[in-house]
Amino acid sequence: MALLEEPIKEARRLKNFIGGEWVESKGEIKDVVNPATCQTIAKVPVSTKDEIDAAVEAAKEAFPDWRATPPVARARCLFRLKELLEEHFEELSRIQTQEHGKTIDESRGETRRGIENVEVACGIPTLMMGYNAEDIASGIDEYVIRQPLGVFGIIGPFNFPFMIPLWSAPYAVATGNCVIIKPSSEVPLSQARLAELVDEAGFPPGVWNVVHGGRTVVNGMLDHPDIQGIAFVGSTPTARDVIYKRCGETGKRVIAQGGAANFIVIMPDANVRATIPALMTSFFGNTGQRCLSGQTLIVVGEDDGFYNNFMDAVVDTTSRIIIGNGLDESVQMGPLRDKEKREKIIGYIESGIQEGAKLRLDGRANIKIRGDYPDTCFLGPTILENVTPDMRIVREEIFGPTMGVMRVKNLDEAIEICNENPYHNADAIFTSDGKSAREFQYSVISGNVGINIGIVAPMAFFPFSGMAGSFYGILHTQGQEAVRFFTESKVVIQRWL
Amino acid sequence: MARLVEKRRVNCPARHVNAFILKYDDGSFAVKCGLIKACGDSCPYLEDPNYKSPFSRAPKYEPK
Repeated sequence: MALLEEPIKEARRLKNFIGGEWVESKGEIKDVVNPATCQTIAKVPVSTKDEIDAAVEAAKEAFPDWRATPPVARARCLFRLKELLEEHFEELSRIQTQEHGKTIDESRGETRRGIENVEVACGIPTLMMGYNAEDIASGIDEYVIRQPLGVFGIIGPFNFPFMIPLWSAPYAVATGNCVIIKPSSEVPLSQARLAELVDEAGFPPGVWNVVHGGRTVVNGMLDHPDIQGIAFVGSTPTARDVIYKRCGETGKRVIAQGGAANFIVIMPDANVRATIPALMTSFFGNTGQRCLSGQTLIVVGEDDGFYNNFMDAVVDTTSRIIIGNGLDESVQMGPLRDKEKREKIIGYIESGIQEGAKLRLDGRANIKIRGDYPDTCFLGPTILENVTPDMRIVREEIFGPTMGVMRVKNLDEAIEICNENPYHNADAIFTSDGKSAREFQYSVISGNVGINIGIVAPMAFFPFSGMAGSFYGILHTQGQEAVRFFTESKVVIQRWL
Repeated sequence: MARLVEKRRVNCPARHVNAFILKYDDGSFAVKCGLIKACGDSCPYLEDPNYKSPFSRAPKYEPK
């Protein structure tokens, strides 16, 4: 298939969006590289502390007027934004493929999921309603109103550059807050384009700000007394040891979503025909760079015949995945985001082999790339059998196109392995038996549970959950929980004398 | 007036949304989709109501 046209044609220098203006940063400049072609597609600033402070000031100044804008009027800006996102759907999707490397189909899915959060936030006049009770005592009424808090920081990861900030930002501004988004400096382009559309949608200056950068911007947000809370998605060490900890110290609200090392449990009664395609997208979709990706496959039962036939089918199907530039619509798996991530994943594969796993499919060797591209960031899918729960490739987050496979005798043993893992983000079971499915759902410690679903991605009107090791905080992003996160409950008790 | 003979729901690969294809007894057809205005002429179903994307997210599993 022909390569789709690239929307980003030259490497322009990105600016910050502060107080409704595009402002040149005084910070150092880093290259943003398309991992499929290794070409520089943008130059992103590493913004300074003064610049994050300026963004907080602009957001703080915008807050009183925005807060006083009726929710139905705030929703109109979101409706207009939704229209603009639909108009630019394909462009936004292709930008994501250029900056991240994922396939165009994955980018289109990501754009859709981002837009759905804007759509849900359009319902804010109803979503942020409080509740009341008459006559809590004679002649006295009591009610709850939900009020915005002020300025929030939103820190995005590299794996879903467009969608993840939209798990939070539409709800934050819909409820009357102002936001500062720090996109990942590896993939800042789709957020920069989104901010242009936000501006066009009619949001007043200072409501939606974007500050590019790294640690200085994050620390500037964490330490700033005028930032009320942070919504972060990234690695567990940063979520736990930096974001959650510092927000606790500074009294900020926090959503800190961390990493994952997910399990997919295959029961002997699973529908194999439906299960194999689901495993392909779960383990290898987005090149494994997804906190909902399967990392370890647990095959239940002692029937060698079932196991061998099942794994032969998995290996055969996996070995036919087409790898290449995501803008080629025939491609099923793109490159990793960068060379360093590729090397890290190769390190995990090697550690698995050293710890006794059996290499069944080696993605390191003879990678067949469709088209003429440097192999710098490409890695083929890898399958390792005979893995055990104590191996690093099971206990640590790999974030790449690998599948570890282990066998257990029964479902109880499988659930025990899931529950003893340090991460508890998303686990799934494939079975035709309702009792097994119910037992798994009931007992597994996991924020997102799949039953015959490979990628347990909650829709915008459900919380993107996550539990210990994968999540730090109380309320989650998306839907009603996000509305609660971005608002304070104020109780009023009244008596008229 | 042409009579509706078939209503089919499709999962549009271009936009990742559901749409409806209506076919009438005079051979005409219509695409019913909330995003038809945004997509305009690029809607693949306007050209071919039986459009099927050649794209597959993963290799096909063929049981032996």
